[in-house]
Amino acid sequence: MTALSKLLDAEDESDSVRRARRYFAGLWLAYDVVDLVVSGTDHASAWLPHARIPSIAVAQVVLILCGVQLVRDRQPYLFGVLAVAARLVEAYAFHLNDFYYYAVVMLLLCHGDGTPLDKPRDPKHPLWVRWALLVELGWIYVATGVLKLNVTWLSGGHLFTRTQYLIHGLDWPYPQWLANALAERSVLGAMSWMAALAEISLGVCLWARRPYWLVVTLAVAIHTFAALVTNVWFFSAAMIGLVVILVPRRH
Amino acid sequence: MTGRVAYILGLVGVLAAAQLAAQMEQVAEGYRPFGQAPKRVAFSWDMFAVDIDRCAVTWDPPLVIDGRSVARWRDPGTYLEWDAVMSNREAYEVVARVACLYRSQRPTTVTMTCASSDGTLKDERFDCPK
Repeated sequence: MTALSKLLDAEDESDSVRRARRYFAGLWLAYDVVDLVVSGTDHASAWLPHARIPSIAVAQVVLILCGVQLVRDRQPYLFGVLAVAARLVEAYAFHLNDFYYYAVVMLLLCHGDGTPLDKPRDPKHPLWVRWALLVELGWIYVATGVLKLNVTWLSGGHLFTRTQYLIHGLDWPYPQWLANALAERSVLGAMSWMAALAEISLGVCLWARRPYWLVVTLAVAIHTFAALVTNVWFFSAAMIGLVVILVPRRH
Repeated sequence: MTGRVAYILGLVGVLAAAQLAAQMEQVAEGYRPFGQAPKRVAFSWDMFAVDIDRCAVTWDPPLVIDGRSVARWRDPGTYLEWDAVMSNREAYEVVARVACLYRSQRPTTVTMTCASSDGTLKDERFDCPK
């Protein structure tokens, strides 16, 4: 109980959670504005022409309003919780891992200036939020890495599908040598093994909160690779930014 | 225990419980390390780990949807990040056939190039229903 009290009462000398929150909110604000303008999620939820889905549109507007306030650093708890609720509404309408990820991470980030039950003597920037975020990010990497330890992923089958779709469906401008390599199951299988092991390693390093250079290198490598073979950009940028900001630079 | 401590433990507990329950659901659905791939389960972080098909679909001559020419599946969408995809080949075919309602000429030929997690890449061609 003493150790728990000590942890919950510790002050984060840096303002890393506030910086992480503003970065995360700014990135997702850009996502939501573009999404609303181009009807991205709305179109992704149903390819055929249809009337705009009201729950998605309303959630996006709420998310944009909250995003602006979070970037401005105004009442982060209030607008953070509201944003989480709106994101879960969006996730209910269109099941996307990125939306669940946003909800979980923002729910922690919005406590960076304390809980609603804090008293004047409680820490202004509680350290437990930063540590909880690193445990959470570590869990996401370990969980997704372990779930990738399956026959389909390890054989390179999933990456084959993703990359062939980008080549044939979206005319992805891979250089010819790379396009040839991405048709080879042995190459894709090796990439898949490396990706799963890199994710699990990154997760463990995040739990250990060190070493900084390895954590950042792994995050950049994993997400650059993911962006280029899976067409996922905002999630990649969000993860790299959080890792860079939240992991301590030295012990 | 103060209200603040209970609040923090409750918050962390809810997050942990939701994510552990998601992993248990994956196991219940048949996921095993080095065996069957996981399913889509919220909060389990199954991104890119599930079995999928992806198809590139074309209509020749192009469809006309809301006054716009649509020759390819990607035409109404965006190039980066947001992309309307189906999880399996059958779902693509259903939408491709229904989209024939927007054909501009008869006959209209649909071509589907589908990649699957088993490592196959297949072309399939059929005419829109009369």
